[in-house]
Amino acid sequence: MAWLLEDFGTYTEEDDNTKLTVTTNKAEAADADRDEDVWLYKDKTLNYFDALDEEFEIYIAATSEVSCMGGMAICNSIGSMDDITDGVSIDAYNYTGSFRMYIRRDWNVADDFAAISSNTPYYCTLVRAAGNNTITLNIYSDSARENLVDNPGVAGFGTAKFRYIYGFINNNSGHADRNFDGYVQNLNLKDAQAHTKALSDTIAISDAVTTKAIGVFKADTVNITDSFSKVSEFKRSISDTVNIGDAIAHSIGLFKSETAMAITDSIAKAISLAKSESALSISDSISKAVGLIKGDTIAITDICSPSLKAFKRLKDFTGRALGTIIGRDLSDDNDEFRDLK
Amino acid sequence: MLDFPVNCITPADRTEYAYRANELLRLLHNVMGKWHGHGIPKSIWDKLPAKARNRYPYKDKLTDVEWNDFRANIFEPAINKVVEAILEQRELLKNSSAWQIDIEGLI
Repeated sequence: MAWLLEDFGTYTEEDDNTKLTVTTNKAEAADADRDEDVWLYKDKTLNYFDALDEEFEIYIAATSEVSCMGGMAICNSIGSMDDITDGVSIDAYNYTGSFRMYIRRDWNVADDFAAISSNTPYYCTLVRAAGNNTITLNIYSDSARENLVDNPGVAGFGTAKFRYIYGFINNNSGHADRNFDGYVQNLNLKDAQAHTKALSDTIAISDAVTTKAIGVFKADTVNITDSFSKVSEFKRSISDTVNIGDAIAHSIGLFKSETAMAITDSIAKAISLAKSESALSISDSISKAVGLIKGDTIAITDICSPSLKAFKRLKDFTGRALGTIIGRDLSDDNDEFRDLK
Repeated sequence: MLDFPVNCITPADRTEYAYRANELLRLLHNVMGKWHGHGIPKSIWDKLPAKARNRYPYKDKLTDVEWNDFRANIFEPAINKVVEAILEQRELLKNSSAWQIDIEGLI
């Protein structure tokens, strides 16, 4: 798991003579003497530190003077190293030309050390099981912490818990010309930063969803757990909606470009057919039929009047013909033909 | 608590024993660390304690999971016992009356 390092910009600095240069993850001292206060700390609140698994790097330059001290600390007091009455401190130390890394309980109540080299970064892990009497300093020569150089430890802490963390601390014992050159960097309080990391991730995810989805959703991210559920549900909902929208759009598109036009075309075609073929044909047929009927009727009607004369002539002819045939004059027997006479 | 051999009784002997145990653990840690970071030949693996060989069969490199398992479940419990023993025996040595110290000769 990737951890976030301590941001020294949030720490409180006590630096009488501006010997400390503080950047985000590094506190570098130049000529930090033992007759001045040079420290950088943060109040993590009461009993914050119990179990320890804190990583940091310490470097002491060869230019550091004999009996100089510089390092970090976790304790219940604010001040320089010699002010610590309840806590643990780590310091790189020039011991008459050879260099050591000390772990100390309080100020010189108990200590242990490992031989180190100057101009060499050391990767340290301060280790303690919760409530354990002993604190151990694991000193590695590599950042992967695979090569253990030494592991000095100090007992006697009982079940004490601690409040303050120091990104850098010197020892102001009132002695001059014991200048420390070196740094502490990449302080990693893994237990504390895991929570911040998770929170950061959650906000990033919510922001992303918010950006892609709807701004109102951002207000729901106050409760991280709920936010995750809502994000999931909301995303699914949006997705479904979009799919439906797409489907509708697709349908509309189809309808417009295909179905509807097809229908229109069909209708048009049908209408066209009806107009050009069926309807017109029918109409024409009707007209034709009507015309024929009409024509015939008219012809018939027209023929009707003249037909009466023809019919009379026919009657006369027929009557005489029939009379001749049957020996009777039908005109005398049939009054209906009287008007025709 | 670190188990000392039955014939390891005095604070001096126990301190010597504990420091040597600490050094062997440190060396084991670094072989395992090298195995994790760079890999080791099988000839080196063959020299590891049986408990480590049984738990971590030979391969080119120790995996992250195995490395973290080694540190958390094998190395740290063992080194913690040894460090506590060293500190305990050291306190006994500091208060030892086995030798008559001429403080006048020291200063």
